[in-house]
Amino acid sequence: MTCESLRNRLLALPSPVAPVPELAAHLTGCSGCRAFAERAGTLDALIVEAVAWAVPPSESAKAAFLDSLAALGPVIHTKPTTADRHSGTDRPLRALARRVDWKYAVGIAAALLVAVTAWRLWPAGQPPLAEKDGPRQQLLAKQGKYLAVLAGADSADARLRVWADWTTDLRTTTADVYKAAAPDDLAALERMFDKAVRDGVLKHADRLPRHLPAAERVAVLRDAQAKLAADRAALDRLRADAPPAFKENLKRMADAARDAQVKLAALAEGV
Amino acid sequence: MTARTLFAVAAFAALSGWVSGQGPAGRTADEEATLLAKNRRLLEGLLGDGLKLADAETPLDRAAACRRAADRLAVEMTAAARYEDGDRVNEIGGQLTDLLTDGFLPPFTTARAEIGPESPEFDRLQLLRRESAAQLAAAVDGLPTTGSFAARPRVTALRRKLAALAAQVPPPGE
Repeated sequence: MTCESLRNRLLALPSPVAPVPELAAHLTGCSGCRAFAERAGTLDALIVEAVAWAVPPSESAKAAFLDSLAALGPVIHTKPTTADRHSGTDRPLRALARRVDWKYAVGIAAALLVAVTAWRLWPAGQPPLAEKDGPRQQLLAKQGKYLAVLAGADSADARLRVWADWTTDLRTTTADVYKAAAPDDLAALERMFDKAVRDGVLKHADRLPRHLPAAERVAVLRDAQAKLAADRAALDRLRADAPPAFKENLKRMADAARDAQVKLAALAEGV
Repeated sequence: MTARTLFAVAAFAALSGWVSGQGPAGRTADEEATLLAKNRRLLEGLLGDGLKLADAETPLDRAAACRRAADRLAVEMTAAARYEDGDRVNEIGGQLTDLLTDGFLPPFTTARAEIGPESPEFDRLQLLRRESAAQLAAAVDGLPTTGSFAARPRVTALRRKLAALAAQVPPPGE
């Protein structure tokens, strides 16, 4: 509570010398307000005497006299503010802002800007920041790896495994693009899938050596068969919500996977 | 079940659907289709190389098949370098060095050790050595040596790596 607001409230009391506890706490610690309260009390007593001398004493006469005093203007000329946690910091900031010489502040900011710009543009002795990779197609990266594996694969079963995985990657890529690919691009995927199935999977399944232990041979064939079954099922699902132009491509791919699946099963059973 | 709970479940289901609809690395179908269009010819070529490689029975045949696939990548890398497409150079150059290191060099080294001058395969081996040395020299030369593009750390590192590989594939007579 400020001194101004206390004094205003003091005048509104029936007797300024008998303040309420809230105001009394302030008066105890503020000699200026205490003197004001005493002066107000004295004035109050004089008014009572003067009014009593002229007319019979009455509360209404006192009120009329106080109103005439108030008509001269408010006691408080500035809007009182309450203590606020957030706005409390405004005053020190405003005071600081008034004290700051803005010419110097702008000069310092400009010097900092020049220094940072020069630092960024100066040829650095250190290597530049690492170059960021752009988008990479997983299929391309995987094909490179499959080539390296095939170069070291000296058996039909090792090659069969590679081709079964390659086929699955082609199907996965198809799933990634089938809603947005250009017709030529999807047709290319279909061609690649077909080659991978026929010239990759089936060819090397046929070439499995006779001396391979039966259990191992069946395991290799069943593994490839399971991958092609998964490919076929996935392609059938894709076909359900594919754009009409691509439904046939996906059907042919699923059919190729189904045919290969049947042939692999026959090979495994023929052991 | 309150409307609020129903809304939360529906929102979660929609979010899950959206996430599962994304391609690898969170890419959209359009982005994946763009990558496919960009790589299509290379993918088809490498698949054909893979089929030939899988048919190769001897180390010499495998090294020769790998060289053809490497040549395809080298041509792609050199074209990207001409356009100063650093990211493409890094991508394809990385695949090229990997294929040469892991795919070509092992069977090539075996073939060199196994095939002597008296072998009927010797002439083919010498031809492969000539072709491989020329191919690697062309790949190194395909990367610029001057200018800001050449000074990029990854381009410099790639040129150094290819030069080191070229040193392991000397032409006949060296």
